[in-house]
Amino acid sequence: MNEKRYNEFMSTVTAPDSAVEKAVEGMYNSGTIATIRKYKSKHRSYFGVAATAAVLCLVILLGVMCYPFGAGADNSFVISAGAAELNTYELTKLGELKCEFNSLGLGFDEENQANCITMCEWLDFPITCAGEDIDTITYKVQGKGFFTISETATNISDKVPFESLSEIMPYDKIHLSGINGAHYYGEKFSSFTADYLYQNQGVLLCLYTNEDNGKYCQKYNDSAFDTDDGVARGKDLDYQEMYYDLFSSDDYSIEITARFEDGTTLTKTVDLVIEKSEEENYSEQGTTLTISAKLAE
Amino acid sequence: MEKQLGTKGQAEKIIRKYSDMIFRIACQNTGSMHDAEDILQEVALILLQKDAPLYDEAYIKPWLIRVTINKCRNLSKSAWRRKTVPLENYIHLKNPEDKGIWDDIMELPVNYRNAVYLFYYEGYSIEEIGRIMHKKPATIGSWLYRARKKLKSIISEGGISYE
Repeated sequence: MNEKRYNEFMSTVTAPDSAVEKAVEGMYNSGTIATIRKYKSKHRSYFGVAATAAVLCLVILLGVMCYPFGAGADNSFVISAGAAELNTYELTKLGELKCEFNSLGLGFDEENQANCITMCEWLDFPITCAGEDIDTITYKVQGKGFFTISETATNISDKVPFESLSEIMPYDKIHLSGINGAHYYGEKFSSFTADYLYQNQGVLLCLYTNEDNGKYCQKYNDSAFDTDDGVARGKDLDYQEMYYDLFSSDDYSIEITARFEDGTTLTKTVDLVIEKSEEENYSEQGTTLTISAKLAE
Repeated sequence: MEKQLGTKGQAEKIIRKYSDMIFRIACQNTGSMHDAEDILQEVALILLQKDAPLYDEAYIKPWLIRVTINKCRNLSKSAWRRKTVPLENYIHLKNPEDKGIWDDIMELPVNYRNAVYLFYYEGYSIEEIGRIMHKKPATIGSWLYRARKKLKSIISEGGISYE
């Protein structure tokens, strides 16, 4: 059998017309896209976005009123995640760290044996800064992490390529599902500088774990060996627990430096904390962990 | 973003365009036409529900491949299925004389089958397949090498020449 014969054979394997019609019919019977979006809009409606934006504006306005860093005052800035301002005494939820089973991490090697390599999971980076007379903001990951920035982002400068995982993740660009369902290939950076007005343009924060993960997920691997093709995962095992063990064992933080128009700079550090999500969120594709933040003392 | 996501008509168009591809992948992953038809329906529903960017041709095809493979994996790990599917891989071929080729393909581990299909039939590069299957290119290269070797071995036993 050569390539031509293989392709000739494969071209004869086609979906029966009845199966295609059934699939299309199923799509129509399941409800329209508009219906599905209407349902989703309960969670993410334009009204909700507008309300969030209004609250954010209010918070920023209050921040400006409460922090008199106008002419003659010391340069300063506040750090927010969504509508919440970060502080040093309580955790603020940033979002969910998306842990996909089929992403880099718990994988299957050429022998169809489950193995653990470095896991790299991500979240939409929600942090922004607000203040007066700020020229640029520089974000730098400390610990096992890197940023991925949309190729369409503008007013981004001083991007420092991330290279620590080049042997494990040799791709220059990695495919990611990003903010609002956008999908793109992004490059990896350990830090970047954004113009003040262009801070949040499809930036993802990726966190990764130690290369040697075997000690954490041996029991999960063992359960995966049980099937003929080695793709099953033990249903009774708590995968959120596994991801929590892996990601909570390292320290992650973001160093944020504001450069003001007068040339001075101010740096603050945000500590990231990984927690188990309270609600049950196991799905076929993966699980999530809650990622929160607070200002470092 | 809302307006970019496409319409129900676009989703239908995509399913019709890629139904054969989804079906082939599902067939060789499950070994069953009936399961492949079920997978095709499931993938069509997911296409509607997941806010996939229907306008992005470069994205949608790899996305469909990945979803199809994942759906097949989930099916294969079902205890119910393992108990009810007969050992013999069954599929109704248009040309009965091709049964030998199908049997040879089905003797490959499932990951090898996918790699061979994506490489030879769909024309993806090793790096692209690595991205789709979330594997290192070296792993995909290894699968292809082993698949060729195994096919050679299988086919030489069966008397069909391999080039």
